Amino acid sequence: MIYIISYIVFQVLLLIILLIISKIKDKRLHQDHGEVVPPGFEPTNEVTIDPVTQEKRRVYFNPKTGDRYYKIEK
Amino acid sequence: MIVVTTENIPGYRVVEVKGTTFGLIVRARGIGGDIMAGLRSVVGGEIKEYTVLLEDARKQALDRMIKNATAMGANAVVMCRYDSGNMGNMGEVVAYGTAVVIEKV
Repeated sequence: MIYIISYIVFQVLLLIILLIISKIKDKRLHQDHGEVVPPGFEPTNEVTIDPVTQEKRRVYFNPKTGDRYYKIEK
Repeated sequence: MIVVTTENIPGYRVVEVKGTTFGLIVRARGIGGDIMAGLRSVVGGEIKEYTVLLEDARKQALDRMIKNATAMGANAVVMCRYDSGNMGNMGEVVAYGTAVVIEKV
């Protein structure tokens, strides 16, 4: 009986650990992009509305590095 | 960087073709997202966890394609296309096009 309980407890703990790691690792792309555009970026006409959060983001482009910055617009 | 799905860009002419440019990404949701998506699939409707997965994959593929095109010395991408596939609960998206140098007519 003790083995069955230990097994169940282990499985529950494993699931909780995986859920915590998943919460940390599974983040939205560009969620660190906010309203302050870093220097060197130029605005483009590209605008996307997120299908889930409905956030509107304009894309800024850095022609030197090729990086893109998604600025949140209100 | 102008990215278009057409062969030509009105007001510009292609002066140099740099070659094909790609942006590839494979993304997955974590176990939490997969469990929620599984529960949603039982009752139907939009599976938001996977909408998020594919939307982020599309953006990241485009970002990488444009970064590669910039590294090639291009200032535009013409004939841009997307392709996608899946491997289990992972989504794969590739964006590709022709990196070109354009100038105003």
